[in-house]
Amino acid sequence: MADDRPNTEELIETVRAFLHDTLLPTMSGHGAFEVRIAANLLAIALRELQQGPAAAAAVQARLTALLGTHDTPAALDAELVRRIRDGEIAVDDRALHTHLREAVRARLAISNPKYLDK
Amino acid sequence: MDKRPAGRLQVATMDDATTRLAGALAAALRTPLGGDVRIEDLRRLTGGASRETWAFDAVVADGALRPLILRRDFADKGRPTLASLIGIDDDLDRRGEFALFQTLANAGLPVPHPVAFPDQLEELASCFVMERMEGEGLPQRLLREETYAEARRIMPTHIGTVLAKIHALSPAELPHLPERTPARQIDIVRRMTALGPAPRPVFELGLRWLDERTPAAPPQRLVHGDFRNGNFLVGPEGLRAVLDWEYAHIGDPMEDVAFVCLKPWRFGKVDAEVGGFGPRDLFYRAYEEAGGGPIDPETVRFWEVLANLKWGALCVARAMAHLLGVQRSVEAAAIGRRVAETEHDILELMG
Repeated sequence: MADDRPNTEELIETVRAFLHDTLLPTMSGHGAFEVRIAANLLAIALRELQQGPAAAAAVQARLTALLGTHDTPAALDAELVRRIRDGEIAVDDRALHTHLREAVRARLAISNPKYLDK
Repeated sequence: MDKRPAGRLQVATMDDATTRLAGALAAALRTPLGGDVRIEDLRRLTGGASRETWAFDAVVADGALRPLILRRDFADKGRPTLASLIGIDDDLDRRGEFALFQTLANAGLPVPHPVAFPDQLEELASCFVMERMEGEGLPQRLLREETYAEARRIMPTHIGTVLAKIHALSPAELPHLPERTPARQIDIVRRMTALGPAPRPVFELGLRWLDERTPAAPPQRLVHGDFRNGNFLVGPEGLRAVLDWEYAHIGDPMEDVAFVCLKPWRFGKVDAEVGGFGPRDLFYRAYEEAGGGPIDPETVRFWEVLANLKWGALCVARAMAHLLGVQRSVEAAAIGRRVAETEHDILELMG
């Protein structure tokens, strides 16, 4: 139920910590490699639960402003791709680049935050 | 706990297919190695998404031991390859790769010497056997272990010198190789990106950017096509061999120059631009001093964007193969989430 603990985030963190802190030290070779990846995938899922909705809303707001049209996120992306492909937006359009950089940064903050430090 | 020694364990777990493969190899290597051959320690090595690599020792009649490698296409013939999905039918097959190895070895380039192309048995369809050289190939070890400290210092220079020699070979003296003009390479990447499940604005922008900057008439040379850390065999003294020529083609030599500098092949050592080993200027200087080039940074940038797009599309394809149940693994799932890194790099490169 909704009030039961551990909640969704706590469940994911429990399994992530078990994989990384308990199971991983007992393993070696390809098995250890895969357990490390599995723990990292749960860390990504956790960050996405926490940051995903706000990040997606911000991207949609910027994309709506850029394209001047309201639609679902997938439809907005499809429209942006169409305009790039048809040459309706210049390849070096600054507003376009700013939007794409911000959108990629938001996704990296979820999938691999360390990448942004490099 | 299993107390059996590693060697016993390996024998105990050798399955029927492996036993059949060992028998086929023993028969096929009689002629090339000149007499009876015993196959020992046959084992599949990890790595390689499209081909199998096996290591084994061949013991010949006088007791001498030949360390060898078997390269073969995946036994699962029913599975579509990425190349077939995007309509490429002229990639090198194993016979072509074997012929290329012979030419390269004869020209004195650092590659494992090819030993046999045994195609008369079913187990050995689409495969060849080559010398197994001593050395380390795993990037994580090469970039972090103390043993390779001196190798890391010299690798950008060795890579530049060897690449210039590869590009100096006359295409007329090479076996038949597919031709890959810049426009053809863009077309291939465009087909790869189209396989993805969702529209990707950064990929689309990258393709347009490439269209506008396609090199007009680059020199046509032998291009390795997968020239990077991970396909180098290295000793403490430096580069010993260049491996994995399955993507070799005739094309713009700057493609290789760009590829070895790509961020995913720096394995975390992002500031060491040449494969995580060291700085780009050492590599460029060695390449030009050995007769390669001249290197035009804008052309290199074109090929870096193209290679990043190709890698990004490959990440999407690996993730889809996982989700569709074709090749399930946590690694493939994780690769799907690396697309954002590729897109970040593409945007940085485009400026």
